[in-house]
Amino acid sequence: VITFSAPIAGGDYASGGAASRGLKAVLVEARVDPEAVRRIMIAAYEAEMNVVIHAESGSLSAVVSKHAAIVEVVDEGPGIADLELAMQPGFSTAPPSAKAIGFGAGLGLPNIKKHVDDLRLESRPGRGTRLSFLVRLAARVGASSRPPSAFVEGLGAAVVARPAVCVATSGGPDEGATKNTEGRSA
Amino acid sequence: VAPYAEKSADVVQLTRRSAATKNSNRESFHGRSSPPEGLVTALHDIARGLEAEVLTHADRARTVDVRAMRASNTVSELLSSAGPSTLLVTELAGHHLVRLAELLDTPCLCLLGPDAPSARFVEAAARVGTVVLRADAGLEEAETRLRDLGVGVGREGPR
Repeated sequence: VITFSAPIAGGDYASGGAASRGLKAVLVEARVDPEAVRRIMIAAYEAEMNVVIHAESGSLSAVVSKHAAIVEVVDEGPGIADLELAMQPGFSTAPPSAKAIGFGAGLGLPNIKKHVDDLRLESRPGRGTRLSFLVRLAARVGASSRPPSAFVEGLGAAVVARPAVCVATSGGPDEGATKNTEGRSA
Repeated sequence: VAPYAEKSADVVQLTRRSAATKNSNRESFHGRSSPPEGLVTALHDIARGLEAEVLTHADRARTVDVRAMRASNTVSELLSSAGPSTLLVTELAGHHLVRLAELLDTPCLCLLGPDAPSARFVEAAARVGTVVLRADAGLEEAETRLRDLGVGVGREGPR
């Protein structure tokens, strides 16, 4: 199991995607299937840019096993008042500055949903948002032909628990945010 | 025979593809439906078709093959179609396009419009290995020209 964690700076468009780039390096080094890397990058970049556009700060963390990659993006931002509405294509609260450079079309969350195997979105208006997704990884040579059912079926527990392990492993300024999130969802 | 012998493998490949296209797909191109993804077009033929200048990695423009394109001014649409043999075409400008290309292993970006990208943009694109084209055409015109060249729309297609 490989873990990864990186901070995300809100409002810093120039650095937007840096956390996803770090995650990609980890995935490539782990020789994850390129198509899975592609799907993870689409979702991770969309989620990371949502933090850049809407929040003060946040973090991206991930746990990669032989069978799946679980990515969690947490922010301390304004939160989302209506999650169902936010998932509708075309709905956006992005500022004009983001729309001017091609973001804020209201396609980010639907794009994430389309490219992952499972998606969880939790938010508290005024507090922040946590987005978690899972992408199953193709079995590699020598690996089991299918993932343990407990891992997939227990996605909820994995998503909640494993990023905390990730942060504890790598430390960093986002540790508190992830712990708080875990507490909210318990 | 001699002229063909002098052409690069890419050009010959394009010629073969064009012959197949003429027989089976050309009518549908003009009907705005997409040519089938997977046909190969050499990037330097695309640059020629768009009358585009090559701003980075001019040498690679002769070796990169394009199987699909996506023309859009929306990052999410470009992102969902991006891949290792996809040409992204946009009127957008900004460092985030380089980041997108880097994350999705996109070999080439075509920037549209009269303004040249900043030196910082060009340097960043060169650093990550992305070929950058720049053309004066608008988005729809560029897309039409690419369809006429036989370049299909990327995986997700227009929304």
